[in-house]
Amino acid sequence: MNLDAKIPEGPIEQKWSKHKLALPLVNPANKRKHKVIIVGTGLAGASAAATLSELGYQVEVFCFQDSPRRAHSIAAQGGINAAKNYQNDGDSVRRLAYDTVKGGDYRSREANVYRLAEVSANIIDQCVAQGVPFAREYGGHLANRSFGGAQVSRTFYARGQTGQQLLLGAYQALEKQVNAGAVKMHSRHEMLELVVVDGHARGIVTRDLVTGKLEAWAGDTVVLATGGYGNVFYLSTNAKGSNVTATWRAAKKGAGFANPCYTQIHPTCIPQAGDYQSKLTLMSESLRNDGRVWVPKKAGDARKPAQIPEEERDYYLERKYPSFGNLAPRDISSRAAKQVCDEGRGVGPGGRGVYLDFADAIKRVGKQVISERYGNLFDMYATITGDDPYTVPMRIYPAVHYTMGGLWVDYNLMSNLPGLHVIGEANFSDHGANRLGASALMQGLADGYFVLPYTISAYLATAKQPKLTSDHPEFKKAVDDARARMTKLLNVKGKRTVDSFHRELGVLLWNKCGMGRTEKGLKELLIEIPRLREEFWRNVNVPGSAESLNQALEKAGRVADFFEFAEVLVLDALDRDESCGGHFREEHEDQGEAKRDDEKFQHVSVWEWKGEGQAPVRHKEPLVFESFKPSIRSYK
Amino acid sequence: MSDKKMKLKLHVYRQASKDAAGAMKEYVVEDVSEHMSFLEMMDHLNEQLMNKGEEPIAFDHDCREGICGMCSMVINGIPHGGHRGVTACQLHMRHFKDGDEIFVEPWRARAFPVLRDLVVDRQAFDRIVAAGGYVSINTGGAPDANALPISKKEADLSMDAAACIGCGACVAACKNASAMLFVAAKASHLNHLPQGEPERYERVKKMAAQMDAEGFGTCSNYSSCEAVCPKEISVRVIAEFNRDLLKAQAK
Amino acid sequence: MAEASELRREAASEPLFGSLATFAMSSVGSKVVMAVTGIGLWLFITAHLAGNLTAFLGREIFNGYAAALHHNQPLLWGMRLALLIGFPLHILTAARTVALNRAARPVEYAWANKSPARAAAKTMMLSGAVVLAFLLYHLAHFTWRVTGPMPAAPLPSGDWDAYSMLVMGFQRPLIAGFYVLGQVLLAAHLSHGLYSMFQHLGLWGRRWTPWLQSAALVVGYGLCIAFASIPLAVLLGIIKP
Ligand SMILES: Cc1cc2nc3c(=O)[nH]c(=O)nc-3n(C[C@H](O)[C@H](O)[C@H](O)COP(=O)(O)OP(=O)(O)OC[C@H]3O[C@@H](n4cnc5c(N)ncnc54)[C@H](O)[C@@H]3O)c2cc1C
Ligand code: FES
Repeated sequence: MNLDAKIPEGPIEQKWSKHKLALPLVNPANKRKHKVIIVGTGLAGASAAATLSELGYQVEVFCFQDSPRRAHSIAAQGGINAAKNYQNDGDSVRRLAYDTVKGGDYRSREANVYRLAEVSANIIDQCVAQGVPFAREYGGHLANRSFGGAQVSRTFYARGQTGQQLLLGAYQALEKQVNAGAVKMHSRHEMLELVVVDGHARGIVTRDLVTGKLEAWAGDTVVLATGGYGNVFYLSTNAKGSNVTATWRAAKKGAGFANPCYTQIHPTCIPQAGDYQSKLTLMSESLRNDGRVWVPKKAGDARKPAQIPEEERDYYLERKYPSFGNLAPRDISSRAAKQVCDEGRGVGPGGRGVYLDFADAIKRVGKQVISERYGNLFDMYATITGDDPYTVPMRIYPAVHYTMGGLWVDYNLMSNLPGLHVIGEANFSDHGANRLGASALMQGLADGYFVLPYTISAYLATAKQPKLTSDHPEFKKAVDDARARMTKLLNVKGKRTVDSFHRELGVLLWNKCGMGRTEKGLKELLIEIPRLREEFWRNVNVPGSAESLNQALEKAGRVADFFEFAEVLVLDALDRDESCGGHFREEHEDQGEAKRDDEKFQHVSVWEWKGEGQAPVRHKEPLVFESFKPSIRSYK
Repeated sequence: MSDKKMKLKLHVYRQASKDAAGAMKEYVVEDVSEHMSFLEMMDHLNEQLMNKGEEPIAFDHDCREGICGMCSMVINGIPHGGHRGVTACQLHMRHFKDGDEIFVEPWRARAFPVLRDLVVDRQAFDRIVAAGGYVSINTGGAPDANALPISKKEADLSMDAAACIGCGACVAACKNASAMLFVAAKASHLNHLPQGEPERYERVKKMAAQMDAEGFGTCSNYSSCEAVCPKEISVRVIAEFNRDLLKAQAK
Repeated sequence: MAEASELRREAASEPLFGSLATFAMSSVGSKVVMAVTGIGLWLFITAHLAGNLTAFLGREIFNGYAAALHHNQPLLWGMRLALLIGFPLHILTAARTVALNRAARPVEYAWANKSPARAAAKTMMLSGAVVLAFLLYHLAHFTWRVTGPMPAAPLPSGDWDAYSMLVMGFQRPLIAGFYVLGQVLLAAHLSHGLYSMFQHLGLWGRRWTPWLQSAALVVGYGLCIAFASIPLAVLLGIIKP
């Protein structure tokens, strides 16, 4: 597997500008001869589609929702980072890059991160020009807030709907291009196969989710912007349709899957209420700006929160991390919550919850201000739980939220499979082993607006692949493969529903490969997951036909892929015998903190699929830190 | 937390495909927890159906937290079920009681054809946005974000309208199946910002023309749209849209 | 960017009247037509009411007003012309939008649409239709004089004794009742219409719009009470033959 990251030479501050100059260009007249296939219309996909088509490329876009505007990016609440330093609090490109590299526990590629911080300011400019209604101060200038893992205020937001507003900006740009006839949009189309011809990614196979029709699409390059795989855990804050299918299908065609074990558990989610629960709801991290996290000091204290006096409460984040307090990064806050719950001090049903208390903040600034800041989040909490957070502290618990792992890409955002570009959460990204809040939106838009539109020409100008159409035998074969898989699923006609399998897989992973991982647990999983997968293929019940709108079949296909992928995730977690960021091996800790092993693991693990029944092979891309020297990551 | 279990009788609209005829069908769901969301109750029913060898009820959903705008069902005659500011996916079963009868139907509008059961085609909304619901700016070359201050008041008015999630409940609720709240909210979002100003009048003209071409009804100011809008968007935006469109005639 | 895809822009400048006609047929434009004609009709009704109320001042003044109106041909025909244009436009546009709206919702909900909306708003078509029927009857009664009790002969001046016609008519409870009913429905129609036309013409204010619905209610039902006071006064013998 060729894992040349193609990091440009030179000082980190100059790498990107030099690289842009060195990139070959596609002649404007030739651009329209190139067809780019983009899967996904989240921040990454929609921004790339709009920009590439503005540049003159022919663009064909796919998403599984009924409208591109509904991609999962829409759910992001809290905000987007940018090194604008509008608050004059000492922010800079370098500081944002440093915070991100450190936040990622020195497991990201620093050149990529630096570039991300560099273009972050352009993103805000672009979005404002598109009409994204960011929050503003009375003087008319943009407002900022602070987010976990940073000591400066660099987060831009639009009420609790930052993701939706940014996505609407990108979606509108996309629709503008649709109207101009420059983009063809295919919604309710799910990608089921990547088509590789002569070693190059040349197209995809999709299923029309309304009619069931399988179709092949050929182009000059394929861009995957299909989001994260958090739903492998069944319960997560991701939208129900989020899946690994697109990236996993690509991995099975030769693209390396990097760091699958880097999953992020978000500390502030509404705890699970029952077995029927279908997803978990995030309460934005911004709440930690004003809310204080605590549990009773005594284990098993069943008193109502109001009856527990101040001195019997443990504000454990403030106690353990005095300088960051409630704003400690996600992995750290989540683990701390798990620890106190494991000690029997958790609150609410099953003792799986901690309080997020606004009483002090309300006393300090008044209910009015708190409601202006968080009104919609409070309403959301009240709607779901039936409790009023203005008077009763919120109950929160960590939940799977984001996946730092993804398809491996080089500096040009191209995977090891030539012609396959991967952007947004779908790539292994710039977040290392832990992502800081408000930086996924930044990365998605950076990739789509400002990086890929340049770097894609590195491939298109040099690849010199022959034109081909979907009549090529490889496309026919891919369609047949997709059909065969569906037929197989429909023909099992077993007794258990798809969801029941998915739920069971999720519980297995959450318990043994969630917030705390051990060699023993992971090894057990490597027996339990294949066993469950085997039962799935023997006993799943997928009603209906392949020639109609069939949601059970859609789910079954996704869950089948989750099953295969889960095993690689566990393998990676087992292989990475250290703790870093969101990957916490209980064997490697220092007073509850993750203990890295830079000697052995300062690398990206990239997994190569070797075929059914064969062990995938792990390759390495060593990580070199020239500008940001790895240190112990402390937030104390 | 107490957990009352309920037994409910559901009447759900079933239609096998776009061109098939459909009808209401009756189902009994047992063991419904009051902490379930409405969609979790539907999941629960679907599990029961599949275990009996029947096909599950198709319904659109994705985020399940009231923001993607995908879920779309008319519950007892009201889109999203009639709790202020709440989508069907956020509606919780604690608002129902044991023995209740519940009617579940798809959005009904000529411009939103039923694809299957409760799933409808809402691409008309995308086409309306494509007609003009954007600022015509390409990527690159934007001025500094703080170069142009925007008063908090205008930014807030813009944001109030931008909160629209495009679910289509406004159309479903309206006796005329009018899309004015959706269309006007999109226009208002952009028209309250200096960035949207240059195309303001052209924008409303084009969006209105596309809205008519899609076959939505006219606005009679029933304000049912505002009452069911999960983001509580005010009919103010409709008045603004009308005014801009009137002005546009003179331009 | 040379190769940037150009947005398709429609060719500029349609002819003014063509574009206005297109607008008037559009969904928003047709509502503007309803609003503008509605305002005209409302003004007419208010003026008409002011005239009617002179009945309380006695036969002389009422007949004087009726005669003056009749003899001022420019005013009379101006008004008639306005009505001859306004009414059909209002009614035809209403009929067209109703047809459009029915078509926009070809399949009704099995469970009645429970989305909240005021009854007066939902029954505009019905109240409008009854008001139309009432209007035709009213014309037949006072203008064409083909129904209702009539004095045996016109006055010596050649005018009909409008005052007597009014009193004779309203002394019959059935006729008086129909007039009152007509007014109530007109009030319902106005209570939504008067609010609605502000919306259609794009007039909205954060502070005054919330009052508008109540104001429309007061004006609509105020007119109704004022109008209905005449037949009632006749029945109660306050306005005497
Ligand atoms: C609840 C929540 C809140 C968050 N809040 C924040 C925040 O405040 N700040 C922040 O920076 N980040 C936040 N994040 C993370 C961030 O939202 C995501 O990482 C980011 O939006 C991902 O964008 P994307 O474009 O890569 O993918 P997505 O937005 O997930 O889009 C994926 C796209 O791919 C398509 N797709 C997927 N699979 C297929 C397939 N097989 N076939 C066809 N199409 C397919 C989908 O239709 C969709 O269009 C949040 C995440 C969650 C879950
Ligand atoms: S499922 Fe997203 S709004 Fe209901």
